[in-house]
Amino acid sequence: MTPTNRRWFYASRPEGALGVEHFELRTEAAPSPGPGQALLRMRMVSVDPAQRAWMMARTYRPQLMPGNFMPAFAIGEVVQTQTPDLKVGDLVEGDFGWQEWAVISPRQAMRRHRRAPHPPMERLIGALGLTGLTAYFGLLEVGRVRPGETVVVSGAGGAVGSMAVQMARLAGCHVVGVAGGADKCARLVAELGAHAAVDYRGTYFRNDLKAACPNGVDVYFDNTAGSILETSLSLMNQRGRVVCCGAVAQYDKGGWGAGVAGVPGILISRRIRMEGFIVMDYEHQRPDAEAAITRWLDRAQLKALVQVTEGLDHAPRALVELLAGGNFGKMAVRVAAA
Amino acid sequence: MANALEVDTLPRTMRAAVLSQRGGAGLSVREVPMPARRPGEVLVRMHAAALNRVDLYMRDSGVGITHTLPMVLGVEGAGTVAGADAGSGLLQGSKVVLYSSAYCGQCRYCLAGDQPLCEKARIAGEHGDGTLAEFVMLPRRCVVPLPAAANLLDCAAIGTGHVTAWRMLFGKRALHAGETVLVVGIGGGVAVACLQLARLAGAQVIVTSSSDVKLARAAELGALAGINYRTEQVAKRVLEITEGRGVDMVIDSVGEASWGDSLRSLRRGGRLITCGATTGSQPGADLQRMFIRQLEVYGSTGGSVAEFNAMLKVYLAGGFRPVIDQCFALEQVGEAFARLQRGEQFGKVVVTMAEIS
Repeated sequence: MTPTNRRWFYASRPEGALGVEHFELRTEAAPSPGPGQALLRMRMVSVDPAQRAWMMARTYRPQLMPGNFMPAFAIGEVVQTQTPDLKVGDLVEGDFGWQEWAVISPRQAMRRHRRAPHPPMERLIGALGLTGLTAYFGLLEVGRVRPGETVVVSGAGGAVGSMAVQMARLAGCHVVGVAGGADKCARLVAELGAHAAVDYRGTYFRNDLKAACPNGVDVYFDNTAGSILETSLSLMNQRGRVVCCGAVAQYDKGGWGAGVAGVPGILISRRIRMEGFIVMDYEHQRPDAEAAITRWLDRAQLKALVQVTEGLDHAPRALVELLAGGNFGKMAVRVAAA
Repeated sequence: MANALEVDTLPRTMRAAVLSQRGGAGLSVREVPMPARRPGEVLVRMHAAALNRVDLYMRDSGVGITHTLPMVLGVEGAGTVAGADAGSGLLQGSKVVLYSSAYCGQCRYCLAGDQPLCEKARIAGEHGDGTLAEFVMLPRRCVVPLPAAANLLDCAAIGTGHVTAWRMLFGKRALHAGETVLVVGIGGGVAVACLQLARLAGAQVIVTSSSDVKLARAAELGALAGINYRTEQVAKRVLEITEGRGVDMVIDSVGEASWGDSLRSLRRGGRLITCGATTGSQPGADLQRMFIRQLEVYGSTGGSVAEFNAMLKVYLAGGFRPVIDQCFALEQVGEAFARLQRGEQFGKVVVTMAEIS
């Protein structure tokens, strides 16, 4: 029934930009579940900037080394089972990687959906997945936004960014998205409800951002680090908060970058809180966040923008495109249709 | 000293709602001497003042608040500058809204930016003459400039209720988007403000009332659900609506009559904020529930200068408009109080002193 399993491996370390040549597709014998295990048929796998960060250094997980199997957030369907905890037909989410089949034990399931009809895959992978939760906790728990505050989101066209923009709008804030290119900026305003959008590639980026934030910046939701962080920091208000969520501008540079020397001066004089987090820190609040996000989706107050690439073969290309800013919203790869 | 021009153009007396003795009969509109402006103070020509529950308390009791009668009532309002020091930053005739608590600016609470806890605060209409008058005099720090296009009727109606609501919702443990709050007794100015501001922040709001009409009004303002406490069991309904979870926050200004339901409506670790005790201030504490479920109960009154400014900024940016229940002329102030006392209002009861521009 499952003769082979195609799996993507991280093959070699990039010097500079990541390319498809840094990955290798291997065909292995398909696994079969032992006692207490279940076999998943992968339906959709996630493509995230964080995957590039894992290659750079030890982060909140061990550094990815050449030769390692490529980890990724994924959604699979149970097709065989030898455990009462996972039933055939269950949809299961977890770190199952870029592959077609996986054998898992119940504790590897981050979340499972028993009752059909299951929520649509496009919701689970993004808005209701780690992406939406990251935006929710970053903005509301770390950023602690208040109505009327000005929120700047970098990487605003990205998966987390596009969610953060919409949620900041829902929270009654003045929302400014930062993205690359006029097209993305126009979509941020027209489709996601940003009050303004600024192209970081523009010649007068700082002036443009300043003009879009007439009351200064209260919360900067940082998905990029790099020069956008530098510019945003310079526009922060007293008691501002910088939510450090991602650093995509640094990922293809071979290191996190220098330049902290000037930061404390700004933090001190403006009493700014700059705080990093990862979504797992808020696991305990996940049910509340999921309930809120589901309500917003159901009432069409929140759009789950997903860009789906068809076929596992194209997963590395999707990641390379993502890192070059080729996506608007969540990027995912469909491995197998239902 | 007031300058010569100012003195010459101002009348010697003004009309004001003066409380000379306790109770409804003790409140009357009278001609009283104009306040003589001292340096550092601002004389404001009042255009409108809105009523609050505390006005009824001052009229009928006033216990615990140091003051002497006769006194002009009223704790909030808006108007125009009738007299100010040169260099005060206030232009004659420009629009202003009042932050009517004259805080000391020196005590540990003021230094922390927590002016509602000021040890020496003097609130207009509670410790001294208030805003239900043609003119009021307040220290410069209590007079907040407005843009020329500001609507003075609206501004008169947000200076207390909305800032009180703001502090409760977004102060100590802020309500955020996606959370759910129960507002007990919808109709009063603070409760309606809580509904509006919680919606603005992306939170869900459940309200209670004995009036289906008020529940319907609340639904129009975006309430998720309304519970009629005369015909329904409040805590049971709250748990149904929240699918067994309970709400994240309760705002209770009712006190004894609602306290038990308010505690039972909270999720584990939830918070109850009390800002009034209209049915009595000695409810059963239900301590066991409080410690087992680790509930947080805290009080709140008024708002800090920063909270006032944050609220005002959102109003001026078009974030919300106060719900005005009814306007009365100053001469009808007794009727305005009666409406508040009967609990008929939905939103703010406003008294107008002059033409509203």
